[in-house]
Amino acid sequence: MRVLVVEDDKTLGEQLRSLLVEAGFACDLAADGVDGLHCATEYPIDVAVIDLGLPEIDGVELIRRVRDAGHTYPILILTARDDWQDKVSGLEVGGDDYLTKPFNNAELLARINALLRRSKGFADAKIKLDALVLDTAAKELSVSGHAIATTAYEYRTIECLMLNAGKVLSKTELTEHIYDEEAEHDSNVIEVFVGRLRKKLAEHGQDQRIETVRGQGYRLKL
Amino acid sequence: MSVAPSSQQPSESARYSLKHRALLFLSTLFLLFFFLLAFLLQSSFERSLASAMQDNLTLQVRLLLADIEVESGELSVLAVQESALNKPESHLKAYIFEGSSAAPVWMSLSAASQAESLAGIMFDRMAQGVMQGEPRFEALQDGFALAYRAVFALEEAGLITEGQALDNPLQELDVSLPYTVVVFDDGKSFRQQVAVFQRTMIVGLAVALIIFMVLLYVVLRALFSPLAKVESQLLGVESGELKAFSDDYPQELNGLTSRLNQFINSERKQRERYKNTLADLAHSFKTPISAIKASVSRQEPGRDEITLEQLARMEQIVAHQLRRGQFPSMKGQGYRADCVAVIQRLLPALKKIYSSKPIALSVSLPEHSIVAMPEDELLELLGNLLDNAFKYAEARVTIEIIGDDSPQAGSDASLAATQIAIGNDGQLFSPEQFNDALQRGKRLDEAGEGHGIGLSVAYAVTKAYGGQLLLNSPGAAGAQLHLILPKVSES
Repeated sequence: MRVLVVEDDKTLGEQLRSLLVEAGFACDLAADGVDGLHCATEYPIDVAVIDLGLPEIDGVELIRRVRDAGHTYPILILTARDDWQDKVSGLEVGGDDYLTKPFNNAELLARINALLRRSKGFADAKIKLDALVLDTAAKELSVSGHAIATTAYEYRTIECLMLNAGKVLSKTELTEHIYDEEAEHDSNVIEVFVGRLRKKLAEHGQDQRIETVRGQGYRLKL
Repeated sequence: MSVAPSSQQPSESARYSLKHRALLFLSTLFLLFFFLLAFLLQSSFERSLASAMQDNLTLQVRLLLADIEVESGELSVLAVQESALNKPESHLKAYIFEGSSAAPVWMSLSAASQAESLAGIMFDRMAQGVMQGEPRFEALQDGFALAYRAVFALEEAGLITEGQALDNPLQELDVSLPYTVVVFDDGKSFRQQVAVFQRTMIVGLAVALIIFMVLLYVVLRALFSPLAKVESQLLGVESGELKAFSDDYPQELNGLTSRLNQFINSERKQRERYKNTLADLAHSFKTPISAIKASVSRQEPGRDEITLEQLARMEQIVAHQLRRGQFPSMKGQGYRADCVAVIQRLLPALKKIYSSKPIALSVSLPEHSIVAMPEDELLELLGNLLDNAFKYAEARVTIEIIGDDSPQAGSDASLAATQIAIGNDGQLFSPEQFNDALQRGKRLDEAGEGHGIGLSVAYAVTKAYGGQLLLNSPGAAGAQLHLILPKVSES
């Protein structure tokens, strides 16, 4: 899934990007409100992490503009000040949760995962589709209790398909959600990832789970 | 408390002191008043002198008429030898004109030495057109003149004199001889008297003005001396020589100095609090730093975990000490905020934060409930308490404002209190745990992360504004906090 981080502190921004990439997310990083607004409205973002104290356009105003532009993806507010005035202001204009600096990396990831799940209609950290189970906290895929080893990109692909189960996702959409803007990618790699996933699922009797919709893309059957 | 010296030049309006402004304003006002007074006094004096002049000229006309005799149509004037009219250099001159003739039929000895033009002026300006029995008084360029037209009648017994013409005009006689008497005063004495009066008045008013200005300065100095004292005492407080302003100021300044004393006191307490906080902070850091040092120097296995744990502890200490340092006593500062509005603003935010928790919310609020706190602090206080209630709840949170107007023990007896009950069905707090949470560096939920040190912050804010935070029914399933805040009357 693709995360946008808008953070003006370069060191913290880079740390966040590394953390999120390590955790299996595609991550775009913006250093000010203007750049953040561009990324937030132009890229297919799944979740945004926005610092409130930003140059150019402050965090509250940025969230307001993102919502005004019609984007409904979840937004996690980062704030250095632990006061409710800031938190409530951010939540009132469209933020979905907040996290106070300094924060624990595990908590940040847990909050992002929870927001993603909630936005897709899943309450639990484990996304269960019959025998297919994706543990978003442990980043593990299993079929009927048997763990399936996946690479980072295979995990991102199956996560994207499972969170959008029943919907057709084009190769371009899948590419945009698993790669950030800076990554070099070819949409043909999606075929490779899907092929590998199909093979691994077939070993556990789930060979028909990911279907190809001709001319449109891929769909995970419910 | 120190005031940074301003590097900016004072503005034009700030360059003059209040005393100088008052002095300048009142001096200008009184100078204008004295000018107006001088003008009115002189006008009044001149009118009074002119009236006296008219009376004198009327008397001269009467005397002259009494001395006139007309015999066989010829006019003669008797017994004026001792009159001022008979002195060549006299200020009084008299002319008698017959009918409409411009040439006088008689003139006084004092008028004989004058140019003929004066007789012409007297006829043109005074005698011509004057009505019988109606004296005309005029202020001319060089003096004053009064004209009177008298008629001398011829009776059957012969020609008689009409000396009392002013009192007995003889309109009904068959034969009449009209004469116009004009008496002129050159106004020299008038001008002299006016000049003397002017000199006396100017000297008198100038002396009065000087005395007044001196008195004004003395009065203003006395009036503004408390302000000078305020400045002097402020410098004393700044330099540390004085602890507070004295309490012997006039009523008008007493409120200001009392407020300043409150402010100084609050500032001093705040400084003390910061000092203690800093000391506590430094002291609190020593243990975690020692633990990290020991772990690193001994190359202990798992030192990263120890370091992270100690860093987390240090973060918590920083947050706690900063919060503790922020809230001095703010009782009775005239704040007001609506608890209901604040709760209604917080609830949507909290529902969003805890949207993954299936919490049943029970809210019972009046329309308004105004408490003596600033709104941002109330938001902070209720935000922390409600956040705790949601965080630790299993499935239920209750919020209720109890309309209790009775003063609470421990709070200001003159104020009623608002009681806000916040409860949940979550973990139980024992009174010991609750008290621990309100002490330095302890939390009810040591394992909890991310939502700060809510309860101790709430306690610090509540205490600062003269309220109370109580744990109710510690043995029951779930927790209920009672927040009691000084209430402000809605009226």
